Amino acid sequence: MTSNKIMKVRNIGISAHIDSGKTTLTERILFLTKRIHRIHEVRGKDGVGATMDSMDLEKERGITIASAATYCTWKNHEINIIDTPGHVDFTIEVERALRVMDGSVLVLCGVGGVQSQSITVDIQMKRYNVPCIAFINKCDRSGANPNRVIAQLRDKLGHNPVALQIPIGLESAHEGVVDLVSMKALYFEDEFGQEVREAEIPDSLMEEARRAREEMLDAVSIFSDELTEAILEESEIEEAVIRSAIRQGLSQRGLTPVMMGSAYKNKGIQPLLDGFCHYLPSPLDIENYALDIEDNEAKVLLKPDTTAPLVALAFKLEDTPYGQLTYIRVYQGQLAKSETMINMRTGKKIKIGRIVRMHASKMEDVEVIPSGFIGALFGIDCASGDTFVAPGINVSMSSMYVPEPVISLAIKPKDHKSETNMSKALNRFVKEDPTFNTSFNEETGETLISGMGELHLEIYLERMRREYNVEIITGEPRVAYRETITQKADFDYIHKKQTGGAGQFGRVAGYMEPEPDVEFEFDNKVTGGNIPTQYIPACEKGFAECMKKGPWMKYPVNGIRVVLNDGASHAVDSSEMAFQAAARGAFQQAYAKARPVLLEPVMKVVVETPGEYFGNVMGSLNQRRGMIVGSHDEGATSSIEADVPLAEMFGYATVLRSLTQGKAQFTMEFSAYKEVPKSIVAEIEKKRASADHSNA
Amino acid sequence: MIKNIFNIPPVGQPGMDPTTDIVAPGGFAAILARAGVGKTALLVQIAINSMLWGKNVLHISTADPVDKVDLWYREMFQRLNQEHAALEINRNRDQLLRHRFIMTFETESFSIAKLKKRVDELISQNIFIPAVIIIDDFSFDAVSEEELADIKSFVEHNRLAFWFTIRTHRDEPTGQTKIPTRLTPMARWFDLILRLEPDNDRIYVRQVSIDENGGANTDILFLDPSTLLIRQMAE
Repeated sequence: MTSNKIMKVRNIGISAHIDSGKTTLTERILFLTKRIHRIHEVRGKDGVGATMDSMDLEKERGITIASAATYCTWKNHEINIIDTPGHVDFTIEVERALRVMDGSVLVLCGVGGVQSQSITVDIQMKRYNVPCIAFINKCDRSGANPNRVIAQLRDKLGHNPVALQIPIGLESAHEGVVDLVSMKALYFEDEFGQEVREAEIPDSLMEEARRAREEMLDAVSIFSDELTEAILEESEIEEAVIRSAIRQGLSQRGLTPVMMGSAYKNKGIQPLLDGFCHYLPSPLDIENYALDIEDNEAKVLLKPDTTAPLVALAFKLEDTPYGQLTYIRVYQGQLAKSETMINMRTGKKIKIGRIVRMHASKMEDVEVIPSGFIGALFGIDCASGDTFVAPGINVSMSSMYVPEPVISLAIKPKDHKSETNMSKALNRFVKEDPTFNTSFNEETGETLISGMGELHLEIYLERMRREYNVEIITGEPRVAYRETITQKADFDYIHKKQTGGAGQFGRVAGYMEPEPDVEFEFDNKVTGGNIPTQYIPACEKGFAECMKKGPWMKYPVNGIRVVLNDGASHAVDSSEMAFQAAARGAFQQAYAKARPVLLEPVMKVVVETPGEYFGNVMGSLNQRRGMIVGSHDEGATSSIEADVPLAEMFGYATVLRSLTQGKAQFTMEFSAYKEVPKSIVAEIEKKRASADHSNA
Repeated sequence: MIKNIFNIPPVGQPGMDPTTDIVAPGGFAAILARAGVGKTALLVQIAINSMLWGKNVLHISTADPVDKVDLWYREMFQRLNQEHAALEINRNRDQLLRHRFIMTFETESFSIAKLKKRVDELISQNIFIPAVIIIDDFSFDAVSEEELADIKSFVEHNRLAFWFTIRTHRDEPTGQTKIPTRLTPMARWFDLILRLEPDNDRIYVRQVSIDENGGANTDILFLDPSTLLIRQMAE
């Protein structure tokens, strides 16, 4: 494939807050690019559901769970689109989508504006340096105000938003947009807005349009000398010059072009598609790096060239009736049928079998995926996040940021058939989703599943029931508590055993102290060979083992630095085992003196509610040990932000629904681990003791 | 008074030392300055001082979102932690933050009536009972005498101390006390008026007193321009 063709490729993520209309927008894009021939609404009466929501569960709940990848063509450009879920519980999907995207569309509700999830998504986009276009949707809704949303983009997200359009009418009078680059009015006609009628700007909007264009040129000109000169000379400004300046500013993340319309009413979609082609970067414009395994993980620039050796990343797995489907992005070289590649994690050679390009749940077979493209493979055994390379090169794509699970649930299969299927299902889910973990508690015989929130786990339970026919008994959701220490404490411990058989002797001395930013740090300051060097790793291992299960409440311990500064050994009786045992004893000895505390995950909760329920919502958060950070009043609605312990948030969705007649919604995401108040610790201790008693 | 600020009070314990009560309950105070001089920095330090004494502070902003207001506090905590290690601000941060509530309004949706309603809701449901309300960048231009009287009675009824910051402009006409003449009629409502004025390498905090002879300014503190932290005149 020539570089000319790669220049016409766009890999785009569509992300936003819940219910901003991402899936509806994607549906319209697919319709207008002729990938689908009928529009199915997200919660439409035809019962088909949106094309991108291919799992039954997604269609039923009207939410997008797994991001489906699809592609379409528009004006000679190939656009690969990943539709990403808006619920924070599925945030790893958003992260993975952004990792392989070169650009993104941030869909904002014209009424709700920049909501909490938009802020989370924006942080993720910044993390992966993904430039984005903002699309202000729902301009046809009552209360829509694009100017307010633009101000929020500036104030809440710190963007430099530049409106490329102004609306022609708002709310029920919304007819189209004025394109400030071409200075034309665009109207969208016929039932599905397929026909774009270009007309002169209505007189009533002319002054506003001129003012907005001037502001736009002013903001964009800093990215182009050519444009600045044209403005200063007051000469005719070519559209191409403006577009190139916008593209320049966007690729540096120096500005955010803002477009608008109503996906549901089929307005403003074609200009947005044009915007993808004009402004968003192609794979050639983006520098992607891999890590050289042979050279201490030094960064290696990847060449988006089909003749270079293959480097590709598996970013999503899906279980299909034909086996595992692996979504893959090729960064360098090309992935061709029947060729061999290597999975860098396992070192296994893989022969490439069937290659497909996906369109939600439908697919078409292809021979090759060239660099810069996204496709999917069948019959590859791998985990999400694996790197594939051509034989002979030794690089890996940088690992993706994976948040730690904060909630777990004990599950038990109802019968033997369910037991087999459950283990199959869990294996699959763990491979698909790195934020979903399972473990088996030998003491209780329970399987624990862990994830990012109640909804996250609920979805997997439901999938087990539907896709794997598993009947499950679930326990109460459990919070992932942790322990840490709050003060420095010394240890000096001798492990001595001289009764029968070979003796054991080891003395370790030093101190442990709180080190909040690390999980565990071990510092060896023993001098003069008081502990022979060969036993130091055994000491470290002994201490590290104790971190897994705290001596106090048996939760994992975090944030401790252990300094070993003295000790003693015996010429005959000292051994690695003896020093490991000594370290364990020393840990127990110092831990009790170091004032251990229990930590719990605290979530950042944002509730958006109509103003009349402000007091009720506040009260509900207050009752849950929430620390209310603040509230923001936006006319008819208020958003309330609070830090609330996860343990208090179980079932909150139901409570909020009944408090506000279903008119409020909330999002929550992990914020930090914080100390559990003493009175609550006592309760947890009691519960734990009674659970231990009943298991015994 | 204000000079006692950051005199290491018992962190987060209610029972404020009356000598640190800068404005008595039911009183109004104002900080006047041009944009960018340090109004918010001084206001946030006054708020933190109250929080250190265990008093609840309601911080209201019509200009900035919650995160941005919170950032002011985080930055001030950081700086105070470096300068006043004995306060152990970082260690006590969570406890201190329980004494703060940020309430922001979109400029067009803000009104005195709405503010009173929201505060009433907080108090009546025992969610947050403020002792001090601070309102950053308040525009007095649109406020009538009746509304001021209304806030005053609300403040007195709930025994709140009410702080305003007011933005002044370089070229606007001022009187003898250097208060903009447009604000002179309001001055009688205030128990304390502070002006911030940069001069050489200090930002002076000047207390304005108005009397029958016109009034005067007294330097009581200054802000370090590099950290915007409060300094005593003797330093």
